[in-house]
Amino acid sequence: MSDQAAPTQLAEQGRWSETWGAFAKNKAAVVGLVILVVLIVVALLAPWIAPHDPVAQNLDLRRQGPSGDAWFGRDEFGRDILSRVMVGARATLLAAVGSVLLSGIIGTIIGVVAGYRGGFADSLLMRSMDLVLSFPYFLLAILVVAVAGPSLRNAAIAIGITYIPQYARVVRGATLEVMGKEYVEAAHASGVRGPRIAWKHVLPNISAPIIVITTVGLALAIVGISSLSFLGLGAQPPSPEWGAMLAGGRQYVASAAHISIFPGLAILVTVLCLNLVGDGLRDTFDPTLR
Amino acid sequence: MALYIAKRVAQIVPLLLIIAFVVFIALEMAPGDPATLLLGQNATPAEVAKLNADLGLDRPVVVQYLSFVGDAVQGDLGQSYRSGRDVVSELSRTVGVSATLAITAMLLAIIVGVSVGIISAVKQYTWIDNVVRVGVLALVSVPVFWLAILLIIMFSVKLSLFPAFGWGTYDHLVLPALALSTYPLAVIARLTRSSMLEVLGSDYVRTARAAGMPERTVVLKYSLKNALGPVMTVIGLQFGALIGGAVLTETVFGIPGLGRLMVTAIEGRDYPLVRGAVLLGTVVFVLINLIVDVLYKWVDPRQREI
Repeated sequence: MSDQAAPTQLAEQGRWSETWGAFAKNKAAVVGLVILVVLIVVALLAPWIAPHDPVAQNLDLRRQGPSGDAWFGRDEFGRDILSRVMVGARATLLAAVGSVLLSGIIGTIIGVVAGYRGGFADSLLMRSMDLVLSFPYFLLAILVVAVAGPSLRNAAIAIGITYIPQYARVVRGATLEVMGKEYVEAAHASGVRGPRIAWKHVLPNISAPIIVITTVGLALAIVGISSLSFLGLGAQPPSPEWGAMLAGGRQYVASAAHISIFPGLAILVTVLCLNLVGDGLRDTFDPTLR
Repeated sequence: MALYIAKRVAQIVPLLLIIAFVVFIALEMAPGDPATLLLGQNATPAEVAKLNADLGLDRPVVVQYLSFVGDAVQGDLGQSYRSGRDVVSELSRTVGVSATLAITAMLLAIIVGVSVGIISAVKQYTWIDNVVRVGVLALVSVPVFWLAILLIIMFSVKLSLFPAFGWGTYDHLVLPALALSTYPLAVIARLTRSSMLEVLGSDYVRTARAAGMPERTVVLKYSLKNALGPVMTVIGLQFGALIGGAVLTETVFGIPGLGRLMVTAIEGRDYPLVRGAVLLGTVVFVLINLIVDVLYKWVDPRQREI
């Protein structure tokens, strides 16, 4: 096996640099990716680079508009909105990543098993995915939060559950496609066992569609989680989560619109960038769509 | 065709039973004992036990589920813990409001989305097409509750054109319907565009053009009809997004609809009401998709064979 490793690695590197070359041609997607990277860096460094304490109240300054001291203005408790948006990026992005990890891991396992095993396991798994899909997704998320109790973690789990079928369906389709390939048959013929084939031969070859739906899934998770927080079913005050911040500013739209505008803008920019990157990746991996 | 409809309806019955089971079991696992919720924290254990027996909550879960289904079939979804009123009457009070909002938003989304999609496809690679593509991406990315707030800031606070809050007149419908329509509108526009592009590049369209047919006939008569199939399917699925969006839109605009009712019910741990609302939303979604599938088969004869 070891003498094969070097050429495989080279081929792998070649494939990824080719993919990057195709992706880089899509300028909108590259811009989206750059902004995303900046957002992630800001989210990671937020506690150190935020200009003010995100939870420190200053009632004298409440609902003050944007100024040199507070670029995004101050909220209903006089807290600095820019600092809250920066620290909130952490909460929102982490929750979204957790949510997508949940749906990604469970959905991928279901999809690979269904596609690989076929037969009864396939029908049983995919019919149960159809059952999840027969719920309007946000109602299902609300139901889960109603049962588990409102918190950012439960909101992330709820949204993650609703996205499992997307992974399962895409991964199952991709697995079925790969299953017909010679290298899988060869592995079979040389006596490699099922789980090893799935891990070594099937998964690496279906990574493209998984990457694409993960990007889109992150966008949906951010909107979903912030929607639940907006309804009071996700992050709880005083946690600076974008959806919860919007809910707090809602009653001041007439006198202090900036409280609602900036957290929403943060959601829009992040989700838009993810969608741009997702579209770019889809075009890169599936040239027929170009 | 009748056989197909009968078959689909027959498939839906077990699906609805399973959905009801999932919702029922989920809320069984919710924290808090209904009797304590009804009687308050000061109730004695004897009172709680008696109420549990009266409500039939001391029976095995499967028996409770079967009796729930039996009652549900006869139009009885139990009583609200908070108001004590029938869940069905609480739901019917609000369902009309939500239906009006959802149908208006969906009509808007279909009319504008399909038109924009056609124009974008016909004018592919022009500035119109570019604007549409960027606009669609922006609309797909904007959270509906934030858009609703922006519409209020713009059209209620700044321009005083439409009311920001409440329900009852046509004016009250404009901003919520606009906010709610954006996501399905963008999805429909995007799909119409790609579906039209595919059809416009096909052989029979080229033949029609070569035969000297006017462009309008080629686009609206020959292409659109064939491009609308996939669009119809996505319209059915978008109703799912619409039901979720309605919960948020109703909350922002203070509309007394099903979504608002559901959020209040969750806050008050009014589980029979939550259960009824989730069930109603899901049943409506399943039925709409059935209707869309049937319509699709009816419109596109090729689908009837399958």
